Amino acid sequence: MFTGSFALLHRALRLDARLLQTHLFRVSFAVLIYFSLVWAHVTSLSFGAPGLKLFESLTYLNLGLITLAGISFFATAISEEKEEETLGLLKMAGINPIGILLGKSTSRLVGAILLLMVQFPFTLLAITLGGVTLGQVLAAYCSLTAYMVLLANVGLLSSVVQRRGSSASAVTVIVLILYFSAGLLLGGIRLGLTNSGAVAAGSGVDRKLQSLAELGSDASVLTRLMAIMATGFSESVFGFQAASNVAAAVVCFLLAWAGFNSFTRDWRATSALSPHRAWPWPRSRGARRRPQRHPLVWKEFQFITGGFPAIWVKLVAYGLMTLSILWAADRYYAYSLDRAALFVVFAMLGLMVVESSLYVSRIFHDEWRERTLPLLMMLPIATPRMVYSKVAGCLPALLPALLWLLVGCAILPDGVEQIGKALILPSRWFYALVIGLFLTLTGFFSLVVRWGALPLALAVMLTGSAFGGCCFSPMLSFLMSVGDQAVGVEGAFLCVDIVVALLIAGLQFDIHRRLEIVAAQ
Amino acid sequence: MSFSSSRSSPQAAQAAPAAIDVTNLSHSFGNRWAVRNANFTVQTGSLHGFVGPNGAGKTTSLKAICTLLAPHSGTVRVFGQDVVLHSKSVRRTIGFMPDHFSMYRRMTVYEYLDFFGAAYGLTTAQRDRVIKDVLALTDMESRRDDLISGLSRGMQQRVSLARVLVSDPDLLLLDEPASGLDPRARIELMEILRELQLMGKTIFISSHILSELAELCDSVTIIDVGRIKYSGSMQALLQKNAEHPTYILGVQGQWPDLAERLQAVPGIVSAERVEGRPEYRIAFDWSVLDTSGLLRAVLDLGVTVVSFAEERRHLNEAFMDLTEGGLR
Repeated sequence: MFTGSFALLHRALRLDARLLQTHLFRVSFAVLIYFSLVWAHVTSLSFGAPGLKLFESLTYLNLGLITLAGISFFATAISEEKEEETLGLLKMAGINPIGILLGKSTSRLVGAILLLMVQFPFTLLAITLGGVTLGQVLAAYCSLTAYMVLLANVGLLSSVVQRRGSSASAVTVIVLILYFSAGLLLGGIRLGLTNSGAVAAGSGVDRKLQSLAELGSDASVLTRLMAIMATGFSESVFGFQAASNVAAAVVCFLLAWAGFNSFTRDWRATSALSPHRAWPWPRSRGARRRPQRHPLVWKEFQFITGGFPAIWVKLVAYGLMTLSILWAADRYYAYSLDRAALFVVFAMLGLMVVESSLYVSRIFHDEWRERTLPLLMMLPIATPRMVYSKVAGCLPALLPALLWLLVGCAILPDGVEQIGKALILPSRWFYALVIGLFLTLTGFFSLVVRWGALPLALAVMLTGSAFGGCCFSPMLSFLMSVGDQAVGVEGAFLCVDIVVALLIAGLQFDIHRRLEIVAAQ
Repeated sequence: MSFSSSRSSPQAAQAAPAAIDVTNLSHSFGNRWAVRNANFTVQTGSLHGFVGPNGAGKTTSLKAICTLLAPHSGTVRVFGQDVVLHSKSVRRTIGFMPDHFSMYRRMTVYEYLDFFGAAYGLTTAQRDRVIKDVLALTDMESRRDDLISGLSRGMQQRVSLARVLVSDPDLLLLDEPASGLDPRARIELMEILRELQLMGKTIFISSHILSELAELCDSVTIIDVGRIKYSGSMQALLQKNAEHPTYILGVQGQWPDLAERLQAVPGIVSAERVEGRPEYRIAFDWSVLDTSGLLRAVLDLGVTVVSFAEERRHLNEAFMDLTEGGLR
């Protein structure tokens, strides 16, 4: 039964060993560990307990990297075989579903667990430096390993269910959001229900909701790690979080196994399973407008963002979301309208960032995957115009979120003033530029890596912001000390804005170059 | 049919610059030369085959011609224009069909062609007319509203060819257009290509199916290990190394001394019986004897002739002679 699994495991390990990016990832991980050591040393000069600082930074670094790996590395285990159309060959080779599942997931899990194990000596150094005990170290690693096992299996299940790696990653992100916010969500629902009087405080339902919220919170690795980092931690090494995460992982694996055959059937074999037929809106020629003067804009708008039907659906959905936030804030939580409007603004901003990053991750990558880039590059259109036409095609899709964002701003008493500030203050441009940099990075990585451009861009941005923060803080302090504080802050932000804008321009230039390389491949 | 046919007349072909003129083209990937000092010319209005073993440098040369790859050295001119310096105007004159399916599978056939028509700057009315024409030419009218993802391989190949034709290019660059097609689809594709040549298009076709290329093409370039081994007319290639034209004579009945009697005829260089068949292979000297003279001489010998045909080398043989075997 496991012959196929070992063959797949062997192949994956050999493949990983040959890939340059595997080694680059390991080197960058080692650099981050050394950076954590330096950071612990620097902070210990002012705050003490260098061991705890080192241990904290290492643990949270691991948490971040495991999460990113879950979204990209683990969530493409089966979907990459589907996209390369090699899953059928594996089945024909007589490897049974459990063999494929184990073979594809264990290699990734083994690689990730090895990275955790390799750091163990550094964490023992943290004990020597002081401020942390062996029990805390063991509990933290136990907790992280359980979380990793859970993520690997959630990713595996997503990649079995979804046909494409990007959608598997998206499903994993949604599950992760639910995982981390389960306690908060259940607590919020309970609070709303008791505030509105729908559920009596202290009643059986209220107590059940409260215990569910506590369980949701306890199952989160974040809650567990915070408890482990607290001084005087003396709980068991293998806590509820580890047990619940491993149990959930087993359930996910069993579900992936049970659904493997039905979800991995070739969609071309039966027209009913075709993803194109499953598209909710009409596909006939008459249903879409014809391309006019800007065909690339038309193509991206219709096929990446979903066209007008998607706009209408989002307009209604985001509108309902806005109304729900305003209504729930008033009805259940007794928040002021201003505060509720602020929630709306942040929700819509978040949606705009998520939407735009998803579009950017696809506009080049889909062409690369469908091997249509040579055809586009051979059009009598300059490459920059082609790139910006594609971006322009995605912009109308952001209009629904933008509309409800403006509604939120209109409700806020100083909303118009804030919009004005966003237009003139370099400190506000900074946020837009950082988002612009993130989107450009995503577009760039989508032409470099076959899967996981979005998580990779996110990881680079997080690392970059850590380093950037270290460099930016002294400059900010210096400029503030020179003259007027507000002017100093804006001046410092202007300098940073210029650096970020230059980075964006450089990356965009490289995207053009990269497009030419990929088209000629 | 509304395609332009300005290059169709032989006079125009004489006056116009070569459709493709490759001079000292070299390109390497790392330390491996994909193409090295390649020189060849494709005449306007011709159907030119481009043949070579796997890894010979065909696709690299094609990509350099179609402006996707800037060569490391040498020049490539399409209708007299340098592909690096005037890539935009060159792109307007060429239609490239890659060796893999490059399709927007979520579009319908009509949308796909409409999109490329618009990208080439055609107006809606022009697109309507051209799409109608190319669909008729490729026999895809009945599938115009079908999703591309639902089409068979042969049909996708037809759509791909239709896409190439939408912009009405003068030069078609086709990389392995018949690969993976069933015999019927392959024959139909070849018929379409012949029809396109009659419309005045220059067709540069890279293929492994040598028998079909031999029938279809009037000129050919053979490339191996990045070097051009032959470039010229198909006729000359198939007769190459045959110092004297050779004919096969089929006779009725037994003629024990016919070979000797034939050899005695002035102008006949050699005559031998084909092993196991009632046929004779006769080589003769053009300067002394022509084909009709040869036939007359044979009939004068009192032989009952049942067949008389020129023996030509197959393209496969020429290909095997010119290229090296083994992996590279």
